Order: sequence, then structure tokens, then C-alpha cells
Amino acid sequence: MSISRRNFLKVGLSSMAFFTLETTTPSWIARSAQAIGTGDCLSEDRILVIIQLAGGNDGLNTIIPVTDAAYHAARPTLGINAVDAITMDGLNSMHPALQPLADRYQDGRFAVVQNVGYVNPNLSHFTSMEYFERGYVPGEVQQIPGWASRVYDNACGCTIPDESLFYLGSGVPRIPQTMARGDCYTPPAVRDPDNYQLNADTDEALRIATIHALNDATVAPLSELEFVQRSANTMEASIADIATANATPQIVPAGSYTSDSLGRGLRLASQVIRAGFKTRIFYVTLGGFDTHANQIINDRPTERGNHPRLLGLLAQNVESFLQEMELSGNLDRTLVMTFSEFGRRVAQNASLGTDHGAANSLMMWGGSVAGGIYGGQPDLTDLQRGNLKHQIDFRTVYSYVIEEWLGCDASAVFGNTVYNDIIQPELPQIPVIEFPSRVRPAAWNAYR
Amino acid sequence: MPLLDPHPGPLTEAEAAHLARRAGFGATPSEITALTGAGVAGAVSSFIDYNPIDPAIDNQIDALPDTGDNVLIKNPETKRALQGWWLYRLRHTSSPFQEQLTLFLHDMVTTEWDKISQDLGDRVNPGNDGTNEDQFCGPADLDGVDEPLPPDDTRGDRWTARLVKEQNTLYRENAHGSYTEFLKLITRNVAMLFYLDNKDNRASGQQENYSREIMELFSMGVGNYSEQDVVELAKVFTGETVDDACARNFPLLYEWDGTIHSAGSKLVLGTTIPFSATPGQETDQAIDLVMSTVTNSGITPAHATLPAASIFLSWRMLTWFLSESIPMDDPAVEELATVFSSVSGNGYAYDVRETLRTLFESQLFYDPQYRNIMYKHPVDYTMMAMRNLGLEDTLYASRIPSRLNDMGMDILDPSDVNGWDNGGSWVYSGALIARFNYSNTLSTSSIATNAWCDSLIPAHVANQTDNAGIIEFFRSHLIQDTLRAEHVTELTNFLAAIDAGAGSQTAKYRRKVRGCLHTMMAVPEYQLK
Repeated sequence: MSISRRNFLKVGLSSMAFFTLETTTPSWIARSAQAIGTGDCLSEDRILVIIQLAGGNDGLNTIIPVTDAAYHAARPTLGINAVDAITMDGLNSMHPALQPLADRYQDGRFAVVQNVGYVNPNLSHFTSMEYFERGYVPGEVQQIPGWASRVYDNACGCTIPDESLFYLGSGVPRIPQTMARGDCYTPPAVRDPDNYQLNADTDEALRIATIHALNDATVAPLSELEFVQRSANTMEASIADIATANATPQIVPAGSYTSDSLGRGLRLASQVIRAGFKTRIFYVTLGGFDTHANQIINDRPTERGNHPRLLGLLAQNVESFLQEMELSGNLDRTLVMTFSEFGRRVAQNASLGTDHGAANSLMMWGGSVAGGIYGGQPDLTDLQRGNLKHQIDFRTVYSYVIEEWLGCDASAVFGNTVYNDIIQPELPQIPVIEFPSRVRPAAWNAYR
Repeated sequence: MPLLDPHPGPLTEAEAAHLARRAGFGATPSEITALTGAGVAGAVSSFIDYNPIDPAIDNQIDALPDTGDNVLIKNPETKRALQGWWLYRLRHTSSPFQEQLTLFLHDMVTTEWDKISQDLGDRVNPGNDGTNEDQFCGPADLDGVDEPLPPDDTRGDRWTARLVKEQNTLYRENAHGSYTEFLKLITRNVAMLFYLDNKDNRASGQQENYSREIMELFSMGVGNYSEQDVVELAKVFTGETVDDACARNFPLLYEWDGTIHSAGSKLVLGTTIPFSATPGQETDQAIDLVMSTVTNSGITPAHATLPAASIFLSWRMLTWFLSESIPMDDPAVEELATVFSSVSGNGYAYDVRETLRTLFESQLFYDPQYRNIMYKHPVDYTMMAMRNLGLEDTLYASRIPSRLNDMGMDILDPSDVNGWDNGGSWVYSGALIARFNYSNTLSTSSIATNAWCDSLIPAHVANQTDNAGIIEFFRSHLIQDTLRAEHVTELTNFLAAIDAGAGSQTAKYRRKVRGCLHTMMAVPEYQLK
């Protein structure tokens, strides 16, 4: 369980600023130096699970403004009526496919932040995804490491607590931009925990030891070879940990998780947490939200079609995960947050779908979540090219989570200037998380 | 053209090996020697002047005995079978550059198997989605009456296999020529019409999926068009659809449907495209505009003078064949875009083969700073070893595709519309485990058609204690560059440890050869090309 220390000792020092050479020196370097050694960041047992809804989730058909006539006018076929949806606050209802999560809302542990986006929204999947994952917006200096990587690199100054396995469960063995290309840590990428081990038909111990040794050889810093070896070192250090986690029995009944990337990822995240690892940030993906066509099936708009199916998968797997956290006594220290690269066009298109849009809602669940709908009601009559205008910069929400939940300095992640000018005035609007017993960090209090 | 000035030649062995790794899937030591004697133009020509429609491999596949995975790849009806069909070609082709180009296009102008098969499966199976709309009919159903096919859960996969094979063949046979003409073909490709939904793009309400991605990912790059251009181009593309009516034809053929084509003129990239009732005329004109428009977007200085598509596509070619980290404003991009947008000796612009000939013959391409700095993708990782060593894993459908998937490359079914992430994303921890476990599989003689561990290094069988010779054999076939001294020491110690253990000399020799192959493919240098 010494993955971070091992990596740091082996390759971390020589690879400092490995990828940041590719970009202008960010303004927050000086700030991050001050953050080193505060001893607060990530020091509590809080867990953040990030769920990417890849392709652009249709937020308006997820958290539905059922009372808004403009919504029904724009979506005569796609629109969902109040009678078919699950009532939330009188103005909004959740899609019936989210039924497994309905009790969480009743319990006050399901929060929604509406109108989340950024200035000059880009309707390209990949450009917009880069903004959300690396945590910058149009007109600012491009960031290379993901925002979660920067939590580790800058807010913690690479002083990652021992055992802070930074784990990813995903359908492919890759690392999302959100947690990629950090200076101080290359997280493991696990596709299939059952096969996350090295095999050899003969001379197994000897061959595996040789493979590890070959990847420990002296290497030039900042080289592609070093990147390969760093990754191989992560592999070596994480194999036993993943095996330990994978041996942790599932609490919820068989079939509670689905076999897609989301179900497998959340199942493994639960195992890692319940095995006692001090992992802080998880990231899992559910794809397929690019619903240009056949988002619904005409005669069964709430039951069939791609979007109800995906929301059903989301709800089933998140609820299974929350139940395991609850049954194991981990729910209060767990926060689940969704994001998507954009919402979708307010008006439906001609093929029972919606094209790329802009501002969107973002959902959170967990034992410390102060449930409710935040961020104001989307205005469907004041659109930009048919898309919702954003009211809240997505980094406002991220900052809130970084500060309030992870206990880190968000300005070290997003830049001091950005933090003060854009994020800080918006922060008090979204008290999504309750902290009955926690003393807020001084840096946070200064902004209240 | 200082960067693209021709390399005076001849190629050194290191330069020839570099060309073979990038333009193909590597070369054996004797092939490398031949390349060094062929002159630069001759060496490059040996890769890129292939015959685009060569029945040899198809004939070879047809002639395979009906055993094992052969049955699957001769008549592919599932994703794994069709992947096996391609992997057989990758292993056996005499035109490896054609396959690298096919992979390049599959990565850039991609479709995902799962979306097509899901869509088809829903539509051809009444009961799957509770609706009788949009059902397709069988080929025998020519009586003019729409009637549903009986439910069949394999139909979606079978039809997807046919569509995706057709698309893969389109890439393969047209990759070398005019990219503009290729774009016109892929726009009317049925798999693409399904994947990016243009089959559902109608005058009554256009849908923007294809119009956005053709500009963003297949030609110009983001930032060179407006949202209004996306809307207008979508109108142009209305009518390019799929014939799925039972009565008219075998289902799933491309069709121009003038009744859903948007009326009126369209303003695309600042140019008015007048309405045309001639099938596809507006589409062809719009694609010519997409390829030729100088946008002056300011993204790079070259955007002031060169068509945006020439810059974006040259950059994509360079990131596939030269360096993944080359920035779009690199002078090499502008030089290559100048070549790409000019009319070639074949009489047309956007000539992919001639543009890449210029690159592969250039001093830039052989600059040592670009050597062994690209991350091998999983197809490189597996095929370079098999082709250079003369090995063959014959489980083309039932093993190799799932192992490639473990490595992160489910060919024919990439993660999203942007293909694969490429670069360093190929070597994250889980992917390395999958690579090293496959090299273990490959080192096990029972999977190969030849009893390789006895015959692979015949010169050394007589001297089974020549450990340095074993290491040198795999170095010269797999690494083809200097092996670091620490690596030589580790491998030497590894082989010595086997010698020191129990077993007959012949048995230990086999274990040494197998173990050396397994571990050599885990050397960091072998992950690069």
C-alpha cells in the first residue's frame, strides 16, 4: 500500500514539471508553493467520485422543468409531462428512469446545480470536454494536467498522503484528462480487476521480477521512455492493491451493478473504499449521451430509447454504490458528482433527438449532501443560438468541492485571479454540502 | 521547403528501421539491409506504391481451410470475427503501409461498431423497442409489402458486420488518393450515415451530427467554422440517406432522397450554394468548399494563406506518422500543408500518397529527434512482433481482438467519435499489463503454427548456452536500436538464473528463448516506435 510513496521516490523528483514544459508557466505556481505543507488538503477521509456522462447529457430531460410552458413548446414529442415524472420541488421533476434515486431526494441527499457552464460555450465534444476536465475556459491559458491532477500537484505540492491510491475504474485502461498528466503522480488505470496481474507460463517469479527490473533502469527525465517507466512503476505498485480490493465481497445483491464501464467502475470503487484504502478521488465514465437521434421511442417516451436507458443505468448503479457506502458506514464521507461536456439544444430535432447545447445541470449524491435544487431555474426564453446560457461557471462547483469537501486550496488549482474574479462571488450561492462538524479552512473563510 | 527537402540518402540501418516502423509494421534485419541499398526513393516507394485493390489477401483468406477461427474470418458475422478478418490482413499483408493508412483513417474518420449494431438491432428486431416503425426486410421480400422480419438477435451484428466491412474496405481502397474524393465517398457510406445519424437528417428539421463532425474532425478542425455553418451544412446534407424501404431494394444501401432535401440556397463558409435537385450536387460543392476554404481564423499564422483543411489534415498525418506532440503551428505542418493543398503529379490536390511520399523522403522525417518517440498502438505492439519474428497467433477472432481490447484498442469500435486518444494513453498501467501478458502468450509455442521455440533461432540451437546470442537475436528483431547496458545486465542475469536451475539443457534453452521474448517485449524501448 505504498504506491504513492514508491512512485514519488522513484520517479517523482526527476519528473517534476514533466508536462508543464509544454505550456506557459501558470500564474498559480507561486500560489501553490504557499499551499505546500498546510497539512490540510486531502487529510480527512473524504471521498469524491466523479461520474462523466460522456457525449453531452440532456439535462432538460434529466431534471425536467415540467411547469415551464417554453419547455413543452420546444419539445412537443420529447418533452416529459409532470404526471409522468417524479416530483422534486414543484418547478422541476426528475426523469422516471431516476426512480432508484428518488428516495435520496426525499432524504435530502440528492442535490442538483442548474445552469452550469462557461463563457463562450464550445459545441465541440472534445473542446468542451477539455475545458471541463482540465478546468479552464475559452480565453484563458490552456492547462495541460487535469484539474484533479492539479489538486495533487499544486494544492498538495505532491505531498500525497501515503496510501492515497488514486484509482480509476473505467471501461478502457486509460486515464481521463481530469486526472492525467500530473507532475507528481500517474494513477493506475484498471479495465478489468480480475486480470490486473502479470502472468508467465513458466519461470513466473523470475520473469515478472525481470519485467519490473527492466522498467526500473536509469532513464532520461522528460522523455517518452520515462513516461513508460513511470506507468510501469505504477503498475508494479498497484497490482497487489487492486487484488486486495477485488477480493472484497460485494454487499448488494448480485446484479445490482451492471456490466458496463459505470457499473464495473462503481463496483470496484466501492471495493477499494471498503478494503480500507485511503483513495480520495475516483472517476468513472458512462458514454452514449450524444443523443442526436432516437433519444426516445415515439410511443413510449419515458421508458424506451437511448436516454431513458442511460438514465436508468446511471440511477441503478449510483444507488447500488450509495447503498454499499451506507451499509459499510461510508456514506457520510462520500460525495458523488456528475458532469457532462455540455447539455443539449432546448428544441428537439427532427429525428427524435437533440443536438449539442450549452449550459446543463450537474447532480450530486452523498451522506453529507444538502439536497435540493441550486443555481436557479433555467430560462428557456433567453437562449443563445437555441441553447441555455450559463449562470454558474463549472469551476465554481469544482472549487466548492475542492475547498469544502477535499479541504484544499482551489485557487492553487484554478489560479488565484480566476478564483477571485469569477468563482468567489458565485460560491455562496451553492451550499451543496453540509459540514456540521468541520472547521472550514482559513482560505475558504476569507472568501465568505 | 527547408524541412521537407529530400534526404540525400542512402538510408542508414537505423533510418531504414525507423521508416519501416512508421510506414509499416517494422522489418526484419534482412529487410532493413535491403532498404538501405534501395536509395531513399526506392525504400519509400517499396512501402507506399502499393496496389490499392489487390485481391491477393482476399484470395488467401478464401483459401484458408475451414478450421478454427478461419471459419469466422472467412465470413465475418460478429465484431470479433470481423476484427479477426482485419487482423489476418494486418499480419499477412504485403502492403503494410496500406494498413497503417487504413488504421489512420479508421482513427480519424471513425465509426463505433456498438452504436451501429445497437441501432440496427433495435430496428430490425420488432419487440426490441416496442415499435414497428422503420423495420427492414429480407432480400427475398420484394413483393412490395412491408412486413417485419421474424425476430433474430444475431441480425443486428450480421448486418453491422457487412456495413463495417464495406466501410473498412472503402478506407483501404481509397486511402491513397484524393482526400476530397474520399470525403465524398465516406459521406455516402452507409455505416457512416448510421453512425453520425445523417440518414435521419431531413428538411423538416435538420440534425447536425454529421455536419459538425465532418468539419471538426474530418477536415478543418475546430475554430474554423461558425455554429451557423454547422446548421447550413446540415441543410446541404439532407437527402443523403439510407434506403430502408422493403419494397425497393435490398436494405441498407445508400440512397439520395430528394423529398427530404432542404429547399433554398445555403450559405456555407461564406459562399452561397444554390439549391440543386441533382442528387448530391450540393453535397459535392460543399465538400469542395470545406476542403478549400481559407478561414483566416488566426489559429496558426498559416491559416491566413492555406486552406484550414490542409493544415488540420497535415497536422493529423504528422501526429500519426512523425510525432504525436507536434503542435499545429509547427513549421513542418505549414510546409506539408503547402504540399498537400497543391496539385500533385497525379493531377489533383489533397493527394495523400504523394504528400506522404514527400514526408517519408524528407530530411525532417529522418531527424533523430523523431526516432523512437511515438508510443506504439496495440496493433503495432502485436503485429510488429509477429511479422518480424515470423510468429502467428492463429486465434484471430477468438483471442487477439479481446487482448487488443484489454490493451485499450478495440479495433472497429473506438471509444468515441474522435477515435483513440493515442500517445501516452496507450501505456497506462492496465494497458501495460495486457501487453506484457500477451507477450507471454506469444512466447508460448503451442499457440503458433510453427514450432518456433525450436526453430526460431536455428543458428543457436547448436550452442544452447549462448545467452548473449539469444539476447542479440531479440534485440535485432524487436528493439533494433542500442539496448541499454542495464537491460543487457538484467536479461543476462535472467537467462543465467534459468541455466543455474534444474532441467535438461534443451528444456532450459526453450525456457530461455520463451522468457527472453516475453521480457524483451516488456522493455520500455519496445513500447515506442
